[in-house]
Amino acid sequence: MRRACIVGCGTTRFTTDTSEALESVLLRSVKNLFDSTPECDRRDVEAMIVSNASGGYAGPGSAGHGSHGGGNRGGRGRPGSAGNLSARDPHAPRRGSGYMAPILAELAGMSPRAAHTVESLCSSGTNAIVSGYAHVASGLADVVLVSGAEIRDTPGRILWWDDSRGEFKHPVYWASLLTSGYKRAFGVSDDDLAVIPARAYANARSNPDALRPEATPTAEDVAGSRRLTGDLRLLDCSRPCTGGASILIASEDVAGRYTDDPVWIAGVGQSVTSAGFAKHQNLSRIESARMACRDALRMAGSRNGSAPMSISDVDVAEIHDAFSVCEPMILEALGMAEPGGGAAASRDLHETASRRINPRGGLIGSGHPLGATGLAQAAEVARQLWREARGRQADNPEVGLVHNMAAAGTSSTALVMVR
Amino acid sequence: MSPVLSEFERAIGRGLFRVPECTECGAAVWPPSEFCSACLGGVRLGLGYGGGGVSGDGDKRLQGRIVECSMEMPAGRPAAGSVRSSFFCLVAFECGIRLIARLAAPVPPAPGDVVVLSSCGMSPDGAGYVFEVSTPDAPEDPANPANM
Ligand SMILES: [Zn+2]
Repeated sequence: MRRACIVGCGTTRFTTDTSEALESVLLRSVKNLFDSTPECDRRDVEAMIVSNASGGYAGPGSAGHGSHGGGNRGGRGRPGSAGNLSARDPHAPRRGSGYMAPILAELAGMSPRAAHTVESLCSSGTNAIVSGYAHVASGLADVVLVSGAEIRDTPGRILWWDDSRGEFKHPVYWASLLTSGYKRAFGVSDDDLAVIPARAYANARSNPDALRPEATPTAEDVAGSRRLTGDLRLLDCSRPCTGGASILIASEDVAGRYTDDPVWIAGVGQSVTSAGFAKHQNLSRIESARMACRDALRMAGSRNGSAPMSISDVDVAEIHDAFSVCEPMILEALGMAEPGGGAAASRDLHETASRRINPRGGLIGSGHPLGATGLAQAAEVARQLWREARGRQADNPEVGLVHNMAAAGTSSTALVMVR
Repeated sequence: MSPVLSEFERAIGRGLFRVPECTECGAAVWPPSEFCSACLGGVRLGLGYGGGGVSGDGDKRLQGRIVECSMEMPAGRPAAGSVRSSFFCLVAFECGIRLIARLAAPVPPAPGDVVVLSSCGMSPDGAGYVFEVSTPDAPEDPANPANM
């Protein structure tokens, strides 16, 4: 296998705008990438991978609360699941389309050999990166553009297939059950979790792409925010939003043409435990995160040809804090805290104003444009390793990690990135 | 839609929960699917479990235990005069099926509590199935009979 590295990235501002076309958001992140990577000619790109969680569903009825996106509905006969062949409502904003990677190629003036789309809900972004990485490592391509975007009201927010959730399909319900399970298992309180959004928003203040960088809720504000369920408050939740992010991956053979400071993708780990939430066997841990991060670190160590890499080698990490409780659970899965010690670790991060975890504000602080999230996480870690993170810069990081997950943590993808 | 799935949905639409079972290894197959995820054997629907007066297989009840739960709010607040709140619970049934169901109860339930499937159906907006469980010997809530 050849080594592969990140040589450029571009991101857009995250917004609440639902009037945008998906391809416009993708294209803007691609333009930002090439503006900041002038050494790369667009004609050098041999493969393009697009990440989007809408499943290509662009039909009428995809917008708004209570609608039924057909993109990830498994054909159980629900509204929108049967493949609506009627014409798209010309007045409806465009949430997605099939064939999005070739569409983006045409709009960006590129004619790559390969262009395809990756959809795996909230972890579409890192899974698209893995696909791009594999193209380069295998020798199929020397330069791959990976680009992800989402429109705020994407049907990818809800996994309609999962009938084991009954009528409780919105993500706030699985998040509530994980929160309840975690608090019960380890004697953690709501107040313990309230510091997590406070730190996320504090970090996001210096992230120019963040959805609401001006928001500065304290832990007390989090505790006092509206209760959505018995175990979840409004400010515990990341917000779906519109946004895009792109990265450029190059082989070791050509990377020198574009940069003298590549960020190597040294380790990749992936794990799928199930698709349905009810198959979670232990609600106080996220097993897919543990396995994906373990494997990514193992691969990074073996690629280095030195001692196995451990979590203590990681200087900066972007982790998938879709809801407050995810942060301590993932810290434990990574081995940054003992089982049950994640909440104390989160409090320590808060009290020390640490930038080691989620320096751009994570999903809670920055917003969560599903198909762009994994790419925005990877772009942030690359910028941290390049020391280009300005006001949110971690202390001299050399090794970074990305953890991105989907569908209540039933699957995870992890990347280890090394300068 | 596969014949098993359409048959399952016809039954649940009438308030009857027919457990999908593998014809080869006997495992419960959930969510309903054409083939068993354990052995890829065929799937048939077993006898139905009804709740709330719906005729099922005699007076059998599908029994399980709560794995985890949380409270609904504000929509789940008890009706005026009711002494019950509404909870959503991950329930592990004895047949091997796990799902999220609603439970109306006067006090918060706890993991390990025994419950029975008291009703099931299709949600009014057609977005999926709905399940309700109750404690086996729960007294009727006069202000909220729909929760029984
Ligand atoms: Zn079987």
